[in-house]
Amino acid sequence: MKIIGWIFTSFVVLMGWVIFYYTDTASLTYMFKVLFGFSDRPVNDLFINLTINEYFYLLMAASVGCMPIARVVKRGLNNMYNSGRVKMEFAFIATCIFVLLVLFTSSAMLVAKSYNPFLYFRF
Amino acid sequence: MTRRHALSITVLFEVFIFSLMIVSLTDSDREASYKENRTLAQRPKLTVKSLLDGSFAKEFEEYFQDQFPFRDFFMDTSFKFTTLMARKGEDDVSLVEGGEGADYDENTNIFNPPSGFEPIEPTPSPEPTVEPTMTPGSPQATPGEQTPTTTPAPTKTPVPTPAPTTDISYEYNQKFLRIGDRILEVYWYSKQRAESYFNVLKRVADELPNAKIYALLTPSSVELYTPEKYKGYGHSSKEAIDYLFSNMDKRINQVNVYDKMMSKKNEYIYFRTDHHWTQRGAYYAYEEFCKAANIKARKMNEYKKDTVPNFLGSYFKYIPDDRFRRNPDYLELFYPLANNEGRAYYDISMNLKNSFAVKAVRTPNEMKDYPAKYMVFMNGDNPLTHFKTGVDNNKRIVVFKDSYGNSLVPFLLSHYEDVYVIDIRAEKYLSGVLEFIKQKGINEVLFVNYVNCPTQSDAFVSLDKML
Repeated sequence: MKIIGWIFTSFVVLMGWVIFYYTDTASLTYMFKVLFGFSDRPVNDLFINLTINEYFYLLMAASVGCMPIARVVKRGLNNMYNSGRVKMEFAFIATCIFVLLVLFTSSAMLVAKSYNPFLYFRF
Repeated sequence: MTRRHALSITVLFEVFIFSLMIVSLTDSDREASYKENRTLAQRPKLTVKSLLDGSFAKEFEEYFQDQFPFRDFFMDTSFKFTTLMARKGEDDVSLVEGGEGADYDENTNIFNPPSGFEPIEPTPSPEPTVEPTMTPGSPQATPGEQTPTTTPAPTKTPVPTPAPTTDISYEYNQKFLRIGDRILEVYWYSKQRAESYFNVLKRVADELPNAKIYALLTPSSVELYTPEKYKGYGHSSKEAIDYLFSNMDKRINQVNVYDKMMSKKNEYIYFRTDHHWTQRGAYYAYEEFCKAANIKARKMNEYKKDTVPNFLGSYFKYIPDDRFRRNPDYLELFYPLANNEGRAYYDISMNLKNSFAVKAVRTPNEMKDYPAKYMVFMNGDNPLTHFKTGVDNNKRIVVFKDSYGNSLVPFLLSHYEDVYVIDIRAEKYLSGVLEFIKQKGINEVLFVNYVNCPTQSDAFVSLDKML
């Protein structure tokens, strides 16, 4: 039963983002048509490949991040915290660097307009 | 994790966020980014109107983006990160999403000469009275009463025209292909948008039955330089140009420069990092215009030439690859052959108070410190520019143009006594343009556009309102 819940939630959330993103209905309906294959838009393998190549490692990282990996990492970190002072400090510093790197790259990409921090202004 | 550890991470986050906020609040705004080669958005004015029509939010968004602390550094980091995330394909090609709608206006500083780019001559002292011969074409305007600082309310033209803007099939998103060391903008066209182009041409032909009207359309660089393999993406500019020419009013003289551009594609006729043609490209278009207008084009070797180095154009900001910094574009200049005096005006009555002197082509030295180098032609985009030339032949022409026209106009100065240049996006500034054309005794009209303009933008809806 849990799996049905997952599928349903993912579907609703994804569709929600489409509605959230477009401000005019023409583009919105067009996007839905494309998503469900009811459009005249050619499916061009060359360019899909190009787009996938462009974001290849980011997509891989994202896919891994979607899995319940956080739980595994947390367990590993907790083990390190509990097994001696040196390991604990190491785990702590690694966490800090990771957090800062993610924060920094996300900020950089926001500034470079890859993402829109003002998405909510659209309403 | 101990409490101390958790707290430290929280503090790191807060320090990062708040230090950026403090820098953002205290640093002074920059006018231009030399790294990106463009001017930056400035703080918008908050008015009730701008708040209600949503323009404040949009402008503030742009302002915030442009003035973000350490912007250049973050942009660079972001681009390096994205490059790192990309997997190399078999060709040296990348596809980059640009964002919604064309965002080029800042590159020619449309209708907004920024400080630091003052007109070469100071503006003349304001005239106390408006010359009676220069009243706007509209009967409502009262000469003498008009204060120069306030723009007259735009007079309603009697012909109601529908604006076909709501029926586009989908929102246009810019995409860029980098192929080797050249950036190309993927082209799409909308037939519905082209209707406003047809409307304008028909209206001008109806209202000026004795005028010779020319329409010049050119593709952009993507049409010429996309390898066969990548042609399937986007639309063909040739198809769009053929569609426009075969469906426009039959009274229009067509200037199709497509074949000419194709045949010259090995010359430097388009920039590699900018959406414009070079002035050499404009020269070949001018030759085609001369054929259509039955005038003798001046030879290319008659012109005194010059070069502005280090130009990174409007496409560069989407793909700020170091290869373009190492190998930037340059501008080849052709100085006009005829003596001329140019002046840009911000209303149709050619009020001197809102005007400044304009050179058809500036010298490289005058462009040295300014990043948006395409402004070397006619000071970029201004609503109405008038060139009085030394050619004494009683011929007058009005050019309706987008920014492609800026580099073509200098060539026309050899053939006309008066050249009036009207930017088709100047609806905020100009009205009663047809009346103006009749009053000035102009009997030739030239439309200069790259194909994106009538097929992607609302520019001709804007021009329709100005007529």
